[in-house]
Amino acid sequence: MSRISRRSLTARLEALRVETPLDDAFADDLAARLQSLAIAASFEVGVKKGRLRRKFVAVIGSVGVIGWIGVTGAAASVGLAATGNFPAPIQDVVSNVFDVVGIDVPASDDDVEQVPVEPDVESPAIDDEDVTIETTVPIETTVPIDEDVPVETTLPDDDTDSLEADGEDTPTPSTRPGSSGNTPAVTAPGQVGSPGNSGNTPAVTAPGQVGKDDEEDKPSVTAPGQTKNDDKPSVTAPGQVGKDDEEDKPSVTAPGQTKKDDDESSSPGQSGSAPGQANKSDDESSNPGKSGDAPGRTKKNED
Amino acid sequence: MAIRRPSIADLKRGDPRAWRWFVNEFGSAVTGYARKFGHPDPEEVTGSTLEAIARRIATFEGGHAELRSFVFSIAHARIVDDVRKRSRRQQVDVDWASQPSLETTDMGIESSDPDLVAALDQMPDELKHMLHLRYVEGLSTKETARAIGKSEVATRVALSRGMAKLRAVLESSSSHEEVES
Repeated sequence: MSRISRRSLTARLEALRVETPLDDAFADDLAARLQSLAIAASFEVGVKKGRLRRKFVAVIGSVGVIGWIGVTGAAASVGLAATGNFPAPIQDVVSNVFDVVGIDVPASDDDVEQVPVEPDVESPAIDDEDVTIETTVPIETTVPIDEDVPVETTLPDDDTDSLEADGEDTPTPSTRPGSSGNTPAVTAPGQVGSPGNSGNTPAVTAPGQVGKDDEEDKPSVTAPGQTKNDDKPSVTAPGQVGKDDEEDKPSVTAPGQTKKDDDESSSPGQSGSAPGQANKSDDESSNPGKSGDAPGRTKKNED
Repeated sequence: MAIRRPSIADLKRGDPRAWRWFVNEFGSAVTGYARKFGHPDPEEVTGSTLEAIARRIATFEGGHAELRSFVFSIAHARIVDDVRKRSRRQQVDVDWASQPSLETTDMGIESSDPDLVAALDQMPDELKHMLHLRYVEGLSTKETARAIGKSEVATRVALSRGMAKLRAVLESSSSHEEVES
């Protein structure tokens, strides 16, 4: 019995290999077909990769959108729960759940402290009984007067003045220019409106006249003067002088009014003093607010 | 004329020279492999196997050793499938019936070593495929295992036992011949 070595057996097996050469035409055709298939396969792989990339981006985008929606919803829910705006059953459930984790959320039966909303601007309290709103349009008339021609100015009786102070009828005294009165001050050329005039009248100043006033810079908007002295918030008609002992009380002063107040910084148009007029609020005789001088009530000037 | 071995990237790119080399390199081997294991249409096996490689070459990863294993694994699968279909159908094909058997075709008539072919016929089919791929086609043990679909260790053990058994068969046959002579 002969022994067969492993090497000889391997050599005999290798000798069994049969080379079967392919036909050239078949080989060429097969090679061309395989080439086309390989190119098509590579193209498909590229398309699939692009498709996968787009899918990946879409998934990431969807997750982002869903995440934002979730975060927003959670924030809104927490906000509603914290302010107790959920319906009662839901609020109770949420309150119990948050109570477990140590977050204090009001339940439906808890009173949520309401913070009062204060207005930014204080509105004055106006008592309808004590306040009379005068609606008289202040008149400022400057009439050019020729120096050579004597000026005779006659102001008609003003029946339209209906200013009332505390419901009293105001007398209609006749006043002269420069005197205390409610008549429009008509000053002849060269005249000087003396201080202290009750400046409740519109000033008619001729050229050359000097309207003397404590507050010359203020606009000369003067209405028929009334002086009002009242502790209550006052609404002063044009030309009125309101005396207010309480500084903190708001006051509404119409243009041309003068308010008796320690606060000197009255806005232009509120002084109520026209040139030739004077704030006469301290004068007891004039009885602020009851001066009795009807605005515009003027008797014919003797001059 | 021998064609210089192209790279796998050339095959993926669709280089005609690369694919021509591929057909020459594996076409005849797959055809011989199919013919030796009794497939009635070895060229059809070759064509379908190489087409399958071309369709998957874009996603293929590895070198030439892996490509060789890949080719023979596909060829092996196709041959085995065709053999199973043939036995399941219980159908006698005229062409197949007219074809000589595996032993008489490649390993009996055309082979110059009928004793070895006869000894191989006594092996199980899977071991026969292993021995053929490992020693006839020259694949490594790892490549053979990959082509057969077994683990490398199992393939190595099976090959060792198969070689021992084959040697025993050959020795016994030679002793019988000596006795008869």
